[in-house]
Amino acid sequence: MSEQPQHDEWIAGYLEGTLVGEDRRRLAAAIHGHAEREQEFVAQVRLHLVLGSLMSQDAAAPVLRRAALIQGTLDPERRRTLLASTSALRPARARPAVVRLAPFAAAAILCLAIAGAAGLPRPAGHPPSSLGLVAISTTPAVLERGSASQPASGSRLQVDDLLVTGAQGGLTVEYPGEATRIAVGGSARLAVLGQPGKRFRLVQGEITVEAAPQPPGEPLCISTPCADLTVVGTAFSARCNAQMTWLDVSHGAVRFAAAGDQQPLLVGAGQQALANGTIQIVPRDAGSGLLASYFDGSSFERLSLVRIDPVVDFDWHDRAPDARVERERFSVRWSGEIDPLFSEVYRFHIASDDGARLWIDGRLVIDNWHIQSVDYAHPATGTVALTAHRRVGIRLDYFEYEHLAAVRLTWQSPSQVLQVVPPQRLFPSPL
Amino acid sequence: MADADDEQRANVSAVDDDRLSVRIQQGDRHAFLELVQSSERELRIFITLYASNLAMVDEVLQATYVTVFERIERYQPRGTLRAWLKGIARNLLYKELEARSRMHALEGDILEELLAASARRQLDDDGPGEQAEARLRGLQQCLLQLSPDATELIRSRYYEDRPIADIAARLARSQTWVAVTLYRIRKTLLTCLRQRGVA
Repeated sequence: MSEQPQHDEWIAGYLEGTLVGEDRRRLAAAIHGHAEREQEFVAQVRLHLVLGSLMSQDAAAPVLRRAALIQGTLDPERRRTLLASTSALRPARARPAVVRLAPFAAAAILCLAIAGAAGLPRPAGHPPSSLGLVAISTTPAVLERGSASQPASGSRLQVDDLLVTGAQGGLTVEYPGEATRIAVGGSARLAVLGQPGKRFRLVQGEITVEAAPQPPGEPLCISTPCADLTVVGTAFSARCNAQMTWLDVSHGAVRFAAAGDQQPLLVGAGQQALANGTIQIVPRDAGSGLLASYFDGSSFERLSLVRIDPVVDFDWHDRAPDARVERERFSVRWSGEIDPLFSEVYRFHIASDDGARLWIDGRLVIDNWHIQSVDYAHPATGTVALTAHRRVGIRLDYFEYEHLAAVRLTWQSPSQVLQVVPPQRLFPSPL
Repeated sequence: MADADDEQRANVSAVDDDRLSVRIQQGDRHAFLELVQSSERELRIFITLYASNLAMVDEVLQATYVTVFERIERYQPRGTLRAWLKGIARNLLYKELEARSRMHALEGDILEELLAASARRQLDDDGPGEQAEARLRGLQQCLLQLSPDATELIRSRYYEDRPIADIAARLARSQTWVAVTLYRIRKTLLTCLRQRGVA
């Protein structure tokens, strides 16, 4: 292969996040000091970023539609579909600071076929109201219809609408005359897919559903990226991103299966479950670790894996944490709750290569966010007063830049011996 | 006609923004959220034109709104509110790019240092906004000139936000083929932009 195609391939790989290690150094060496190559590299990166940002906006839709229509490349059915549904089908970007979605898990469907006895009462004789919805915005939220946006509050929904809430936003979808309510949390995107029944796609974010019994053949269905669920209870919440669906059942029960899996698990009241390719039941009353979100890139750029880690005590050396994660330049966010045994001041320690930050109960306790080598003898430390058996939130962010990678979280107090924080004291949950 | 429509929309939006700024100054927090919702798209694209990666876009965008919230009481509607927002974003971008440029130089990361330094120069060269808007308009025109296959690939990668592995599987091609083809399409777009004098 001549130098130019190789050079092109390196830049292409850099932009897709697949260029690492020696190839990245070769690219740097190949362009450094060559004005024309530097200019080409910079121009490619800039255009890549601008396209990513421009295309994620509604403004892109008319441009692309016009392009396709002018070029006559779409058959009538495809044209109709494109014109009708581009905004509803557009996947959202992950948060925070998000760049690209990681490879999609198989499509999934959360279907609510409510068992009559378990469900909330549905008024007798009330006709199906699949699209007769009213969205009540509790805080500002937007309804995107085609290329236009309007305040969501008070809107009657239509097929292909996309409900978007800001970070502090939220809204409630209600069905007049029946007890079904869908509460949509902040930073969420919920697309209305339409009939039969009440069909939505939760692209990103969190919803809480209270569902009345639905008419035969008209189930309430919510598709998410990662799992198939059939709900036999009446109240639950679900959160999703590109790599996982998190289910929390308040009462009733949910049949929960990985996408395409014919053997669902039953998740009962008081239980939680994680779907990330397989299904894992997460009991609410027994500690099991923290929810770990692994990202490609040192700044949480692209979510690539979600799993439950029993402890935070890893020495990956120069290997990747998992085949789905980059070997270098990756980052991890552990989240959940911590349940101390004593009412005392606890000292937390993090030894890491490279940086780490720890929040307990929403307070930044350790801030050691820089490139470094691991030093188990002199870890970063911070103290916080905790109350026995009162669970508080815990979040640990970590990034790896290059070469070796390791991170260990330990704690101690006057009564608590120094130890890696054990899984029995950690309860996973999304942020 | 389109220009006249654009101008009319801009005038309407400037008046709306001035009303918003007054409401915000009077302590109406709802008005601030309206401002964020109505301006975020435009501001995000503006920041993206100069940021060295998408993480930085989010950081600067958030910092801009925090700054606006803190300083809105001092805002005087001499220009437009949006121009003021962009001015704040521009200053934050400049500081951030400078800091990153220094950090990457210390770390010996040639590629990231190059990106940060060139973005900073671009920010200097462009001045407050007009060139950025011309570049965006040019890009939209250039997109219309792509071949159907290229349009489809751009749509899959950027609009549907599909990873290249997904696109490669769908097209029965290798990931390298997809990445390099996208590279060549971008090259075509860059040539088009240069011909229009807005590269």
